[in-house]
Amino acid sequence: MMRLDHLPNQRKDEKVILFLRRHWITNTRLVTAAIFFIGAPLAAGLTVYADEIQTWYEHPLLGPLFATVAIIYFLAVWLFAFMEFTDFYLDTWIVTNERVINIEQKGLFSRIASELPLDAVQDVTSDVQGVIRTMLDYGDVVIQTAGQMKQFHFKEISKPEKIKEQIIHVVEDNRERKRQEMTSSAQTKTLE
Amino acid sequence: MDLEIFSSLSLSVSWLLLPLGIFFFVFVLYSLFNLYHLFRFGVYNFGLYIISTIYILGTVFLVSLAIFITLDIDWTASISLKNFFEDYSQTILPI
Repeated sequence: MMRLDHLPNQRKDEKVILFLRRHWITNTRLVTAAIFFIGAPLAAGLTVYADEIQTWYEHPLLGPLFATVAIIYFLAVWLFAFMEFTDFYLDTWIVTNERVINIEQKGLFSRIASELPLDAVQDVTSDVQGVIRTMLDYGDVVIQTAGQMKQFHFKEISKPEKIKEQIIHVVEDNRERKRQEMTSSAQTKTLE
Repeated sequence: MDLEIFSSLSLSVSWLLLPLGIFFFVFVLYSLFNLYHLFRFGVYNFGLYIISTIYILGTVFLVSLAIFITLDIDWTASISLKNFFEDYSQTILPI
């Protein structure tokens, strides 16, 4: 289990500034699909096709066959919904006063964790497109790095504009802190 | 003659327990994988325990229901193909 006060390879004096996940609304597709795929057959079975199902269930062959298919179907929907939720839940982005950590879960057996020192951050942009995203204030934040390194893409996060400002602020603070450290170490060397 | 052999063939419904058993095995395996991922890679907080509890309770409920339904069925029954076609009616398969 990952603890925010004990990050992997945590540096001395490193503190978590932001811990981000996709906006909760991105789960509505999953919840709607799960409700539909569980609710629709249940509703149909209990109302419109109740008599037919009762007849099938009493048949010596169709009864067991129907029960087997129904059990497999409902358990599969439940399992699939939870696997999708796990995928959502484990996609996280962490911004500390030293680095940006990007953790992406892709399915059950693929996980990408990468990190970027704040020194390498060149540009931060936020992107909110569409009516729903604008109304609910969620969208993407892209962190562009120096050189030919890859982009860090925070997908569908809440308050992207505010997050962008916070990241820029953290990057500037980090640069200022590094500058002061260099100045003080140069002064110490001069005094020695 | 051929029709007589065909008519004497019978099928035990207990064969259906095989795919059901395989599915249960895969279901349990994937559920454990899911929970492992949540606890191994998830960030420690109260929400993690709530989510895991909901999944475990939901799974226990569904599996119990499945077992309850499964126990209610007579798996020892076998059906001859002759009887099956004789039993066919518009009520069962209205096609």
